[in-house]
Amino acid sequence: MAQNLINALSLGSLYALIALGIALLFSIMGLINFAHGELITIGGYTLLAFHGLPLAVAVALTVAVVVAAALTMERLAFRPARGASGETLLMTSFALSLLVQGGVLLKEGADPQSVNVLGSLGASVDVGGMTIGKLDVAIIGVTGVLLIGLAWFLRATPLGVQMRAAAEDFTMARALGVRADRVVATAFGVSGAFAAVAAVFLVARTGTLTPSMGLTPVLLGFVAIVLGGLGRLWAAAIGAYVLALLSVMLQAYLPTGLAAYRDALVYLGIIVILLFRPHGIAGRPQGVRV
Amino acid sequence: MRNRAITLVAGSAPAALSTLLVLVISGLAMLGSETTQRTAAQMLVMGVICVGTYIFVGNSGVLSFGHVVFVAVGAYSTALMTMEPGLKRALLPDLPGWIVDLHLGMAAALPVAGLLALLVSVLCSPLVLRLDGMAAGIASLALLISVNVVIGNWDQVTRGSQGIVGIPADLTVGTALPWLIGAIVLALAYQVSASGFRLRASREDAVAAASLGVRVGRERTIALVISAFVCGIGGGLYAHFLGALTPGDVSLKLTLLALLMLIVGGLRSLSGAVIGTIFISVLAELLRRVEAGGDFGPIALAPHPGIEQVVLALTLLFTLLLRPGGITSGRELGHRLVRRSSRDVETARTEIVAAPEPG
Repeated sequence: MAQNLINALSLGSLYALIALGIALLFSIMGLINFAHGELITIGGYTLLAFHGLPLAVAVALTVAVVVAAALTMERLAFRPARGASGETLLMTSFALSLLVQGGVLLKEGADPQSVNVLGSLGASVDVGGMTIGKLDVAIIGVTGVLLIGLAWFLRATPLGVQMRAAAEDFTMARALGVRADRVVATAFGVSGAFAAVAAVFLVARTGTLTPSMGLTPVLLGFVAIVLGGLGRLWAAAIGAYVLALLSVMLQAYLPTGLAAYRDALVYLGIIVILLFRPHGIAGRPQGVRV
Repeated sequence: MRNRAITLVAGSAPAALSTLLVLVISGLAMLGSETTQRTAAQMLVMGVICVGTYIFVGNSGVLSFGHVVFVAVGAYSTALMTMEPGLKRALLPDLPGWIVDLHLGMAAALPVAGLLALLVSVLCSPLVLRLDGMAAGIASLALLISVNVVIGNWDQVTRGSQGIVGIPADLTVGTALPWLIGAIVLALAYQVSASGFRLRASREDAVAAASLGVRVGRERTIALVISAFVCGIGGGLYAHFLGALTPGDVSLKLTLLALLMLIVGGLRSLSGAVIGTIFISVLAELLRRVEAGGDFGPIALAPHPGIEQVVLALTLLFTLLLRPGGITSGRELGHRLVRRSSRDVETARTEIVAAPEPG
């Protein structure tokens, strides 16, 4: 039981990193960024490229590359499309996602590649009869620090406050002098940094890279956001932990015949939530837009 | 009365011209090599799927990633109806006896497949009744993924991730063409029906349309059901094009390809769906040849897998950024014809626009 909880907490932290990266952009500019998965892919392959350097250096370089990629996406694709409908933005992100996937395919080929970033993190320690992977501890710890860091940034810095204002009401925030370009670019930067860290942990967990490796994480991120409630930042993190708990528990306690259908059940659950609680499990309904 | 007749003739111009376009391209392809003909057959199949998706997405303005679900239902059910009974018994021993014994030709199986897809769409209709915008997009994506997981694990019927093999791969340009023409005619018939007009009114402004008495949910359901029927038939054709089916054939990839075609062609017109399918199919085929490498007269190319995807993605990206309405930008082929014939309507519209705003 406790073992499952640790697993859920570690998995939930990973999901939370991904979900927050997506939720940040959704709350500010109504963008469902499908290409977030490709930021993770870029992170994974960057890590592979810098394999051999000390882990800290490789991770720092990965974060830098992914943040640069996120900012490039913003500047070249999403800034010209700003103000377009949510559907257009979503399709723009799909186009970017296909583009990056194609690019990786072109450069690296379709075959899966393996990379071992773990080093000493691969070990595990025994605590009171439980085996806890050092990696799990690292994921939970780093995510905790990042979440607190983001909370501090949003509450205590002028740029963070502007971002919160923009998330609340973008038009109003602009009218009051918030510089849209700067806020959106910052959001993309933060989103990219989170994607990079998520990529490091993801690759550390699975050890393999493929050009389409970003798909599953980004879908899980969406699920977490829907669970928590669309458009609310911290709810996305809560949704991520709930999702991880659900999937670990389903994995552990579902009869074997049904275990294969776990993902189908999770996604059907999402549809039910959207149908009956469109603002998430703990969400507050907003006024009808006329 | 005479005016109505003219409007009808002119109103069917998009279908007539789209059909003509499809006929010309198919005719040209018939002259080409076997590979070209196969590509043309694939184009016709994608045409049916795109027109089917257009009936709902184009008229309602609700983005759907879920239409491949109907394609999947059509594809697998057609496969189960048209495969050799002996082969079915060997591949899928747990299938109920009456399905094993079923052995229909493609033409007989396709309408049944369409109806099955239609039934599934009725089950899905609460989604479009209650959701729109982003929520509808995510919900339809979730639906697609869960159906894909089910297909990938339902060993008794779909043979799971191993997939079904031995579907008669007998689709040719000649046998696919009538179905696409049928789909275009059906799409136009819906588009010019009262329900089609009401649904497009709700697409432009759901609240205003509802206040004028349009029951948005009802109209959306009608469009969804017709759209699913066409997509189901498209799925059956797809199965007969491929000859083998795996869950990966009816996944997000196919959805994205269909949406790519629709968006590049123009999401808001039937002609756009047809033109987009043709344009992207031809482009993709050219790119596949470049990707495979080889000698092109003076230029020799090394194989480069990934080029097709990169160029198609760039096409979508530039369309969205530079011409968001797609190639047709919401117009139909022959729209000038329509406009000339309904000058009275135009005049009336001008008067309404010119009238001073009340208050």
